[in-house]
Amino acid sequence: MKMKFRSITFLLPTLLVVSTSTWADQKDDPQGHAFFEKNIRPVLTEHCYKCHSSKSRKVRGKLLLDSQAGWAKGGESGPAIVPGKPEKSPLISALRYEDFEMPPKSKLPQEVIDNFVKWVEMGAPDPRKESKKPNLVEEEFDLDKRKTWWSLQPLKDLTPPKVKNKDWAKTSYDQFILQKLEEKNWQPAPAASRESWLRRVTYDLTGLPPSPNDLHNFLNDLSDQAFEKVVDRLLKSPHFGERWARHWMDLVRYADSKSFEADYLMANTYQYRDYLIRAFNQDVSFKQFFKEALAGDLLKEPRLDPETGRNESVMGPGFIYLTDGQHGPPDIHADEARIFEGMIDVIGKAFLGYTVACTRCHDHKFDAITTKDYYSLYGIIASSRLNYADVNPPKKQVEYRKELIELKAPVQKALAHLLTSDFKEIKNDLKAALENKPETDHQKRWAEALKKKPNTELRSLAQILQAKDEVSLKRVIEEIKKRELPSKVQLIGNPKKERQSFANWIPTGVDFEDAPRPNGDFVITPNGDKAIASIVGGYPASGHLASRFGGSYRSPTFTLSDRVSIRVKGKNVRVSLIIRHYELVGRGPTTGGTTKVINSDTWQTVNFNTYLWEGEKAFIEILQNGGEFRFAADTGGHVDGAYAQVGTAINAHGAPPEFPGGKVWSNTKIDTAKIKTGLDLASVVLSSLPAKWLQGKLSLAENDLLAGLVEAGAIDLNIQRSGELKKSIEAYRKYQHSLPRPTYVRSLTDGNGEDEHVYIRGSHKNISKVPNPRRFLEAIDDRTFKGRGSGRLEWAEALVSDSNPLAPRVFVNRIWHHLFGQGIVNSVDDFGYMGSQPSHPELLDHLAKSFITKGGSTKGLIKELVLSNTYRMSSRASQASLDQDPNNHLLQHMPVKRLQAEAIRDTLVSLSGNLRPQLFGRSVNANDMGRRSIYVQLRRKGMPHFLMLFDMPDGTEPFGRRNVTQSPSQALEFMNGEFSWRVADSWAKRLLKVSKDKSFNEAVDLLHQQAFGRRANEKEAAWAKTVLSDSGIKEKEALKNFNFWKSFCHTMLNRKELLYVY
Amino acid sequence: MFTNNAPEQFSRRELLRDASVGFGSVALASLLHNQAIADKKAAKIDVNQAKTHFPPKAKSVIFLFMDGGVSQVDSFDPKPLLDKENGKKPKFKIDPTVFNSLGKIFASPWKFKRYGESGLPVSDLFPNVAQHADDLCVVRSMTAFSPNHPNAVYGLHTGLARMGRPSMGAWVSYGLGSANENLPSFVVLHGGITPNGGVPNFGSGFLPANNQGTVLRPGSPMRNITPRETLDSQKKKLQRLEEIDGDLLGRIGHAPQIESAIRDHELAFRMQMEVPEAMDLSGESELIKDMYGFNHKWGNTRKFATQCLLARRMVERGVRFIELTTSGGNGDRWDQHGNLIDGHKKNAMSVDQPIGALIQDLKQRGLLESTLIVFSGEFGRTPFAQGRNGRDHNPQGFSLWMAGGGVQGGTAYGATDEYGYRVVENKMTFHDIHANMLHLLGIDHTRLTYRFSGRDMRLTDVHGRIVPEIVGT
Repeated sequence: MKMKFRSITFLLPTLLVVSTSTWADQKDDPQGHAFFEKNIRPVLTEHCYKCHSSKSRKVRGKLLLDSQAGWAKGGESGPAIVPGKPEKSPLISALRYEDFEMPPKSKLPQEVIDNFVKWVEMGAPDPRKESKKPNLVEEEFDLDKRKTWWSLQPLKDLTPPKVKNKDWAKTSYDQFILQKLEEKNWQPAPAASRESWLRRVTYDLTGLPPSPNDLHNFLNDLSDQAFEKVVDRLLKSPHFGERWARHWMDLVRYADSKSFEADYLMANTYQYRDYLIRAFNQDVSFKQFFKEALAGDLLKEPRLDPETGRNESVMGPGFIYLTDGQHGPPDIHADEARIFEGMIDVIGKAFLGYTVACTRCHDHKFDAITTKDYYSLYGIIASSRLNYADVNPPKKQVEYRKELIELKAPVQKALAHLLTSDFKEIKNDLKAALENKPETDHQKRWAEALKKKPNTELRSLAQILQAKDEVSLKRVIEEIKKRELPSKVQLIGNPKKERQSFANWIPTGVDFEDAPRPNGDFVITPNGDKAIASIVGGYPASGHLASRFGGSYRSPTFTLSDRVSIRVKGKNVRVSLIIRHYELVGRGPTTGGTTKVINSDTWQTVNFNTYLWEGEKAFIEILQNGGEFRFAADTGGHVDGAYAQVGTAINAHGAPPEFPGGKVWSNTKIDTAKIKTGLDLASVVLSSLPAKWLQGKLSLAENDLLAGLVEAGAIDLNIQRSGELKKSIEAYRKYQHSLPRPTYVRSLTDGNGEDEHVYIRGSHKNISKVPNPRRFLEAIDDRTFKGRGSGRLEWAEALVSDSNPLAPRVFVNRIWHHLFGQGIVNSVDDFGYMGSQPSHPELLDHLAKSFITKGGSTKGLIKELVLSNTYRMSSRASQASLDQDPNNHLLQHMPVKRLQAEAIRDTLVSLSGNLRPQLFGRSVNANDMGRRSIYVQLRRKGMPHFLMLFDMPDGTEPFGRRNVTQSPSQALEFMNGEFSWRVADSWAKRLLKVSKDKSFNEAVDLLHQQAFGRRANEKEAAWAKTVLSDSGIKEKEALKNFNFWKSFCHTMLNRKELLYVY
Repeated sequence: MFTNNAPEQFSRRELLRDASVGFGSVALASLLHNQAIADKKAAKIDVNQAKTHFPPKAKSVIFLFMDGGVSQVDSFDPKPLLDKENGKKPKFKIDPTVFNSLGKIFASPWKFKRYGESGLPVSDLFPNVAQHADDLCVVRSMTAFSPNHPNAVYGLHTGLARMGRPSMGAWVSYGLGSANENLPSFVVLHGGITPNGGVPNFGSGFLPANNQGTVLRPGSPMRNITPRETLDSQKKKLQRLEEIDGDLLGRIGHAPQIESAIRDHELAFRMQMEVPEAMDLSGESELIKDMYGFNHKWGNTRKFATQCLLARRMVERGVRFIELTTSGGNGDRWDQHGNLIDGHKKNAMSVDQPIGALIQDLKQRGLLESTLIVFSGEFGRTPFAQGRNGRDHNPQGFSLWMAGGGVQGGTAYGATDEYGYRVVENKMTFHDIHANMLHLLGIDHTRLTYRFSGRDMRLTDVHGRIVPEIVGT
């Protein structure tokens, strides 16, 4: 069964012209009309008109079948019928249930379909000449009209409004809030208590409760700067990044695994999470952050981590491929379309607050977004590839390289010297080997190599050596000359010449270059007596200087025929065929064979059978150090000695080819005076190699021969044989081993830029005739991208350009939402027609404008906001506000906020006394009582129960605003759940450690400070005594009674105040 | 609660004051927090008679999930042509399958007989279910969204062939709330095998989390339902909590969500009482237990019998949506890529008697007419063989059946081709099944919406066709 999907390009225009004339000629065809009336019209009326006639309530696919002109013009997929050509008529195909299935309810009986075929063959005679217009014309998409939507208008530069209560309006933001309240003659709520404000701001900024010490310091700081000092401390805390990174993770549907059947773990996801934490802690500017997210791998000046010097920017796009994924999709293109839709959804909502993904099948129903915008972005994503980038400090890597190149020169010299002396007696040695009378070590090696013939070079050499006279030598040479790849094969990357087949391949890492290695270049082994692993001249390679430079190499996109063959050698190399960006290579029944690990110093031909995917787009991916890389989550994948070399890659039908070798014999000019036999020729050629090697003058054919000899072990390159060699190699290795191992992160790399077609009605089987140019959203910036790459960088630049008012509006609104519990635009991910209107549009613009003007500092904005008087209000609502503004749009008071799931869990962990302040690293099990929730592993198929119970999103769709639900299951979790009892146990033990110097009241007070960030009030002190008396334990004994405190702590945990900030 | 985008009219306090107490109102309160405000009437859910779009026929749904995919040509869709062409190469066009397999026509190893007054044909795999032929409405024209397990299972549960969307049980819970505030409204009686694609199949997606399925494993208590202290001390604790939480309310002034959360302690406590009671089968008579299959020689039959009996008890107690999952040990679920005879025999044996008894029992208690039973896998199987003796996945045409709850019994709707491979008449999708299911529950599937992602999302997306031949007129 072939899994082959025809892409239907309905009808060439020329065909249409021809066929039009065909039916026009048959104007009067009484017999045909009779056939139509009898066999066709009744069927159309009964089965098709409901959706495809001018009287349809809603015309589907814009196709009308109640007139000849209707089907001739056709619908979204072009003309429905090609008169005379049933096989080319989409209508027939649909009736046959081939690509479309029409009528949708049931396939028509075969005889009816046969009638239609016959009718089309007859030229589709149709008496219904009058062209009709649909009853209900859908409103045309009018971009200019749509563009008038408020959120697309330029940011306004507004002066804050005048207010009466100038003392209250401390910041310009306060003025906007107060003005609306004063309009109604309302008073803002009184200021919250200091304790309340401290708890609020500590949770909002770090997701953790304030410590009793924080509380003490703040309450005792009566200076004017007390509040600001707290804010500065919190903004400086590394926990700030942990809190705010998680907000962003909601938007990019962060998770560690792929869901579906096997829920495969993804490699190095945590690196993206840690990147976010650092980005927020380092207060990366908004524009830089956005640019990195889309194109961090493409920035000319990447942002380096100030401490480690690592490339931070390249981690930005790590979220794009945090998709779900299934193995072995029967329709791999449909799978790509599904997965890309998710990516577009994330990008659209997170950065633009726009539901771009809604336009997969049709122009947006309400907003200024078209399917062209969608497929433009689709093309950009399709022109990019998932990459595991090495982020080790780029500048240092360049220095390392320089040093290594210098250290390598003496090695080459030593090797050539050794070879020179080895080849002194080459003719004798070969002769002895040929006659099978080897005596010396050299002769034995030659004999062995010529017997085994492990590669094409040795096979050719052996053939040459068999030529005992001029005639047979000539014949052998002719034979070798003829060996070429069949002319019909497609060389991937460049259709012309084998040796140049890398023109369009895309390298990453410092070592892979977009050019072959110089002839004679070699890879030094990381240890042992063997000096070199392989000669790697002639073709691109990575790891030839040091295995600790990570690299990858990818072919341009090509269209699959039924087999791909590629020559590869190296250590720990992964060769994969990536079809339609299918990520789970090597998994699933049909896709299991799309990847292979190579560990061979001899060329290997990797063959991929691709008949299942004929016609699909694909590229080849070579990962140096890729052995264990994919989906073995969290393995670095590095092996010392890893290198990769890529030879010719071809895309062809039929049996795998033999890659030709031995070209040195057909290339060498023969001086017939001196050379009579193969042995003569071989001796001359071989003895010339060392000097040429030393001078860097090896030809490609000579390079190949040398490589073949090294592979075959015909030359002894043991470092013990030469002091010069040993010394130079040891110096080289020592330096090599001092280099840092690669650090891989999830990122992207550009492929070759290709425009994508529009998928009509979202179907990848029905695509537009012309590809759709890549650009930003037309409503904001309609310029087509001109660059060679994917267009991501251009898209990112358009995203943050001043002509795009959406990005800053959406971004500041998110910050406002997280601090004030509700956005100025409440639908934080949708600034379109279906979203909410801004409660304070002027404030939103003022925020966005001043945010941008001040350089887009997130921390700066947060600081201003939390120091505002609006943020300092209590949650005590006025009656007027409750009556007239029950949802508190006008912010008369601060809303009561339920803590987010992570903050709840982190509070519990912190109360238990087990919280470790450790940042970063691989994810941990949900039962880990010491780490913050952001580090808990998130497997999509089994998300952590506790966190889900309190509304953590499930990692499948962007969530800028979480649900806040409440249910008895939450109460049960705290009443009976193991977690809460474990916390109570630890918390009580923690108390007992310090309780010996305390009174009962003081102990109770401490617990209140720890849990609620405030001292126990009188009522609570009395209440605690009541609880104590319930237990029947005397106050004196209580302080030592673990069971009492455990139960008391458990009661404290069940108090609702723990979950709410007010 | 049918939409979350109606204009705001009432404050939370008002709603809480007006709402009759119950899970319905709790769900409501939480929705309010999600900026969701409904009209006042929706808040007043009568615990016994939820407000619906039109009078409901069914009050509860029991969904029997036949994990892995039952073969239609071996169960409810007889195809005599397969006997004739047995062993021959299929003459028809075949779609790509997951395993890229292509075998010879494979006739059903089981015989079909006609049952009841309706004469509905059922194979020998289901002799007990067959006794209720006149109650069954077999849909023979089912299609699935994908030939892959997880996609198809997600599609069946949520209407979208990937994870993340609310399960149909969650939608029912969201739409109707519970008729019993002390039990969850969506319960999964877990047989042991989690459907392919995992627990997200029971999830609430973008709907409020309290609508997600509560997984109950027969024989083991519900998560967090067992107190870790004596009931007396727990009660005392709850009482003290009420006192001190009340103080919090006094300090804040206005915090309906906290008020409602405080009430959850009481609800949780009552749940703690009622869930174990509902799960306790000691009061059931031996006769009943025997009828369900408690004494069957096959362990999985005894297991499914327990699940079915529990399902009846849940229905009696007002649970809205009850899903039953299958157990391991019958071959790989219903997923017989090989050894069809052995696997399907064991699978059918495990569920046939319990399901027969469930129908019987509901009927004798007068509950069948208000309980919709749905029996379905995520897709069907190919009429041609995979390997020598198995069948591959077939999303192009398969059967499910429904019974009770107002469906038209003794009927078969739709048809596959003469091989049982592809639907040729009255094609149905799970959107259609969902639409008809909601219809029977009194809900217009086009009006059960939740605003998310800039759209008013529906269980049925933009699809769903009500079929009078199935749900009556």
